Amino acid sequence: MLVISQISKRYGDSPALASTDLQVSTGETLVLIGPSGCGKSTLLRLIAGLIQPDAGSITFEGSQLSSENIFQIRQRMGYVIQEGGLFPHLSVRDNVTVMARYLRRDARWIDSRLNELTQLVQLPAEMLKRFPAELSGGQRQRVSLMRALMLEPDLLLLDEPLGALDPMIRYELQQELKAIFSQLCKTVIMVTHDIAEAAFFGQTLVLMRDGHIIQAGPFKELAQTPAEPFVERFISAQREPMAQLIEALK
Amino acid sequence: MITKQRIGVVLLGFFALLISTVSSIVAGTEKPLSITVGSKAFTESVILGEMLKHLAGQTGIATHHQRELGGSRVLWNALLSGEIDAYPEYNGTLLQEILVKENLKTEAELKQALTERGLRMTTPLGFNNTYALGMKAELAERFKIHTISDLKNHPEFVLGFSNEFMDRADGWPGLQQRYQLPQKKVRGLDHNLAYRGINSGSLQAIDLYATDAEIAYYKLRTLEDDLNYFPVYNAVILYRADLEQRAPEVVVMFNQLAGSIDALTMSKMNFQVKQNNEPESTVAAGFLQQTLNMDVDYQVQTVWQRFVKHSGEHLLLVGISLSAAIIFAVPLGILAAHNERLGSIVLSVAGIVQTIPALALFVFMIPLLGIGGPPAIMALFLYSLLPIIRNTYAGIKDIPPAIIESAQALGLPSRARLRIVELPLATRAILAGIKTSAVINVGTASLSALIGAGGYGQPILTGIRLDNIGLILEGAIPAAVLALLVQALFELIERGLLPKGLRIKALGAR
Ligand SMILES: Nc1ncnc2c1ncn2[C@@H]1O[C@H](COP(=O)(O)OP(=O)(O)OP(=O)(O)O)[C@@H](O)[C@H]1O
Ligand SMILES: [Mg+2]
Repeated sequence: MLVISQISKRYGDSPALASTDLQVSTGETLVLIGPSGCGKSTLLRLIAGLIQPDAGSITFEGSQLSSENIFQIRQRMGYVIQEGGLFPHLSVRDNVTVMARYLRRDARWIDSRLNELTQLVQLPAEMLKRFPAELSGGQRQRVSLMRALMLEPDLLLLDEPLGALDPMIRYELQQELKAIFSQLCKTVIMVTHDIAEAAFFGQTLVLMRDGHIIQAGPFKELAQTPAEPFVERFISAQREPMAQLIEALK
Repeated sequence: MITKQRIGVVLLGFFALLISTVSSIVAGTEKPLSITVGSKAFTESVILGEMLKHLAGQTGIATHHQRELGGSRVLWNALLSGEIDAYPEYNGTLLQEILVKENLKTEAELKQALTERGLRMTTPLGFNNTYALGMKAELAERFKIHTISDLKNHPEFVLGFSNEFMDRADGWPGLQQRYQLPQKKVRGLDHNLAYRGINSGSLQAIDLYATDAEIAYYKLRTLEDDLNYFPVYNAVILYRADLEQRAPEVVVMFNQLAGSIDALTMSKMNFQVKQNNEPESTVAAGFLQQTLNMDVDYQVQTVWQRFVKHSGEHLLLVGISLSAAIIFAVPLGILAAHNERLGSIVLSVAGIVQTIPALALFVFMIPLLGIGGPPAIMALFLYSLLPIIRNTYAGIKDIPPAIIESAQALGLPSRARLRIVELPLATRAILAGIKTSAVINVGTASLSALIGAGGYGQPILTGIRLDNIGLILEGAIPAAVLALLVQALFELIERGLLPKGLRIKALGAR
């Protein structure tokens, strides 16, 4: 469904993304991981057409992204940006439905879709009339997700949708999200720092460093046959503390 | 791109509208049979202006007096362009200042130069308002001093001169040389102190203008300039030549003043206005009654009538210029925020306009739009642009990039993004900019009086001229109150317009 070929992006002198190829098939959940600044958000922004690549092309469902078709294609993508990006001056309801109303979708359809999503992400219905400033961090993340899902997109782009949440809520939301993905059969590209979260969600993990894809494949493959010592170090850096913790509890 | 073009078209449209409104106001002032006389911003000129008004009014033609229009240049240009039909002037000012480049020598040459410009002047009114030396009349009488030459016999006299007169080559140094004056005790001091000095006897002679109000008040004698040292500043009435066709009877009236006002009479009239606080209108009418046996119907406005008139003028100036500024500046600010290069141009141009001193900006408008309301409105409009443009620009630029990015990611095209996301989020900043502009505008509008647009500046100007605190307050207090009201009004509007979600954030931040 999504074919990325030879795509690259630099900011001034420093390359944010080296020439990269990647393919995502329908229904797949692909997780981008890697250290901070390695180009994960950049890749997501390129896919959403928010920034233009210096070279290469992106093909979505057979059509190449261009400035002419980008507004059409964006309506088929749901994008939750890293910081959530809710509009502070709009209520939860308005935040979620803003695009549907702009497209003059039927009011009843909007209402029923809103209901569906409220139940899906388990947001208490009375929160719909609140403003983002009156929500907790986890509630805001849910609202961002509702907004991305509103127009029933074919592709979901999630940039650390669970970042900056406390571990309990994060765990809960991970479970919910995974259920939602499998329920909706969505194609998902998700960014995370956390290797456990990546392993939990992703059929395919894409490990990046300094704008390069180092290795792509299932978690097992990365763990068992690391392409580079970096892969091993990246995985163990996150597993070690946990293993030590479990050791200490014995 | 479409958005920017649209905004451009809309801007052009508004500009055309503004120009046409302004020019229709200009056109509106040229009614077929009415006479407008002008006066400079000092008492003598205003009294003479009132005389002209009374005289022209005698013919039954509607007459208007644009009082206290800044300096000679402003009146000269207004006369050339036909915005006023006549004003009192001094031939010295014409020769030494306005037409100095022509290097005119004789009266005939001056008349010729005026005729070439479609102007005429009456024969001198009878007084010469130039520098003069003055003494206490009683003292002068005692020593039998009538001319400046007579001073040569009194080297013991202490002379007190204004600093300007002391320094100018054509002041004391030249005078001393021409008359070979022997006095050694010559002091430079403030003009008001000089009058007190001569009154108390510590000074025997001072410099003054031949028609100063104080001459009558302190009972001074002006000494005759028997060697013709000082340039002549004979008062005349300057009027447009076409007045002789349009209203010949008015010209006849004006000419009745010729030779009828001597320096002492003028000094007394200045005194009546300055020291006795009599309205110029009354003093002028009194003179016409006495000298020309003319009964003049006139009204002196009450404080309340003046307040209503000035309030109306001020509100009109502020209302039109501020609305136009909002209509222009908000789109310009948006444009600037969306287009870096255009933005820096717009912001620096508006910044440059702001650095022009307000007074200069008003005067710059005169050649373009004449005198009165339109140039004042244009100047206030230009002056109000920057705070609104800059705040709109900053308000939009300060929206966190994450918000803009998610609006883009949702698929909102740029115009919808502006309407749904950017403008609501910039509301507070934009309103703050408008509020700043409004307060500046209300204050600056007081200067409009200098170019004949009236408003609260009028009593302030008159008050400064007459050293009358009451009159100054008559303008200053309503202007201050209006500024506060405007501020309060915009705070109310802000409460109504600010999106609720942003108000919650404001509370949370406290
Ligand atoms: N607008 C920009 N201008 C200049 N450099 C940028 C810009 N955006 C990103 N970069 C640089 O590009 C590189 C990749 O950034 P990117 O946001 O893709 O990292 P990331 O992998 O998402 O990091 P994180 O996990 O911290 O979110 C970084 O070095 C970053 O500094
Ligand atoms: Mg990132």
